[in-house]
Amino acid sequence: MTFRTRRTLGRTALYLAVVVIVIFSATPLFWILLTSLKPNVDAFGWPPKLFFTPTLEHYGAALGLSGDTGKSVLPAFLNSIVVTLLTTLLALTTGTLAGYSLARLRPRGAGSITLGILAVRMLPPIALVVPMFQLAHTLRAADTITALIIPYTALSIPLATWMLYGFFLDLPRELEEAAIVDGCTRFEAFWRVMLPLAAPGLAATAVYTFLLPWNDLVFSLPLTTTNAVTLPVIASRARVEEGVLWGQLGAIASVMTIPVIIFTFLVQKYIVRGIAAGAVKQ
Amino acid sequence: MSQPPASLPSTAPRQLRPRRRWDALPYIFLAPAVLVLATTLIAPLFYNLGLSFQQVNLLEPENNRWVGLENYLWALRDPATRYTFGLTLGFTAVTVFFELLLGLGLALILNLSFRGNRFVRVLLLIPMMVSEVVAALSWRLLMHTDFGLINYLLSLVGIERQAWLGSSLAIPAIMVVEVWQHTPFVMLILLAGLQSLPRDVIEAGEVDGAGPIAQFRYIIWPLLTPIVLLALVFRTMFTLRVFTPVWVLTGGGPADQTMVIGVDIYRTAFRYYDFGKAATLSWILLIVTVIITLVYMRLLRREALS
Repeated sequence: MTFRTRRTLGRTALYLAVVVIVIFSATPLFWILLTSLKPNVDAFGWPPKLFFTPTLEHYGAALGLSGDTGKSVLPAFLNSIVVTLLTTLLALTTGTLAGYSLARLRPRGAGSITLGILAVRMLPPIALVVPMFQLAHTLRAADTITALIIPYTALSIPLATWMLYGFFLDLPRELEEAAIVDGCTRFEAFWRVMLPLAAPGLAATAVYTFLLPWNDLVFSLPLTTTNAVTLPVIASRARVEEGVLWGQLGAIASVMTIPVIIFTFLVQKYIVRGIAAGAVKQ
Repeated sequence: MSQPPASLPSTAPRQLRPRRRWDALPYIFLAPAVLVLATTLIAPLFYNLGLSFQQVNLLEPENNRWVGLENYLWALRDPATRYTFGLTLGFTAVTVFFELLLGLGLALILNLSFRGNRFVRVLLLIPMMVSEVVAALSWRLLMHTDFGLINYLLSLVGIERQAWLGSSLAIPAIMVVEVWQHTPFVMLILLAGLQSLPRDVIEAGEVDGAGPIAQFRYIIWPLLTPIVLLALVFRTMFTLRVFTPVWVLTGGGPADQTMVIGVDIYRTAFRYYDFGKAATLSWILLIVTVIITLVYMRLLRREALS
């Protein structure tokens, strides 16, 4: 075999492998998205159909606009949005302050506090559901979005703090010093100079923080029953019923997934920082 | 050449901190985060520890009392709970093994240059970003006994329909979903590791005539080991606490075959309202998580020293 044919064979094998990997990785989500667009006749057809006339009827039915198939998921959708936005806002504010403090103001024991915050991140959330449930009931907050926002904020703070700590460390210290020399207080140096510079980091952290309250079932399942249910709870309940409406379920799954896919493309650069927070040196 | 001497940045923070009086600003900035974590995560954790030494059942509150270590002894003796522990450990071992194996393979492939590499990389990350609920639902649809795509594809090669989630196939089926969703995580950190390896060392190996296999065995693998261990720690910790995929795919069934500890905690608390035993299971999960982390940390340190 000449060098050239061996090279061509190698390239072909590589592309073949990549195609197989991509198909395996993409099919499940692609298929449920496809099902959400299928008319019912095709959704339960045998053999399964790849080509059909797409319809948005399941989206309308899920929102309660058409069909007589059950309750609208609109309240759950709104709950998901409110819980996610408030959690992100609260965790980001707290995390920015803490991250800036640890990176730049260096309080006594900053090193061990940073490690402690990271350690908190490793706690299994499922090990906290019992006290959270009791707390929500004691505070008469059971089945309210407050009962969700509080634990989600707490669970998001370590990641937000750690990511922003990294972003603040990366900013040039000279700018901050110049601002202080020019007569800013340290708070003004933080607020007017460092915070605007950290904007890309804030955006990336926000996107990362949004994933937990948007995706989670571990807390939303036990802490809500009717008023405060979020989309993951609605989607997970379909298990109980036989004759699941796969079209509508697909529509809910797609609504949950499309923003995540868009965000994945937006923040791809920062994903390593987010998932391996504190583990891989940047 | 334009770089400032290395000592400059490390002395700079002291200049920002006035030395004359005690400075409150760092603590004011830090306080909200520490307060929220202490009251919302740490305090409930220890409250839960207290619960684990009591009998607390919402259905028979008249029997609530301190029972010492009784709940822990129950957990170690009860056959169903022992099955749960064994299943959780076995499930974690097998799942994490395949995630590491496939993740390493993917990282090595994506470390090669080919057209569309960047796009494929992001595309492969999507499963780990989506909700575990959506991941599990998608696979439930594919694994549906009557009209699922998997049974259809198998029927083309003459294999009979399988009830993937309603038989002894349920455990491997959940493993597949878990591996599908979380292999990208392993791939991502291993890829980051591969790209941070010193180029010159690998090139020196090439010059000395190391083929791809020798290169991997003697150069890449030793340099990559700390990062592989890291992926192992993370995935082990996160798989031990698995709840959502099992809940959505099987709910612990059929006949409690897939009752991992995460689902068992949920069921004990919110089906049987036995908060004492649920708290005990929670703390056992926590203790195992901490022990495994410490063991790996030690391994990691030994690796770093050698």
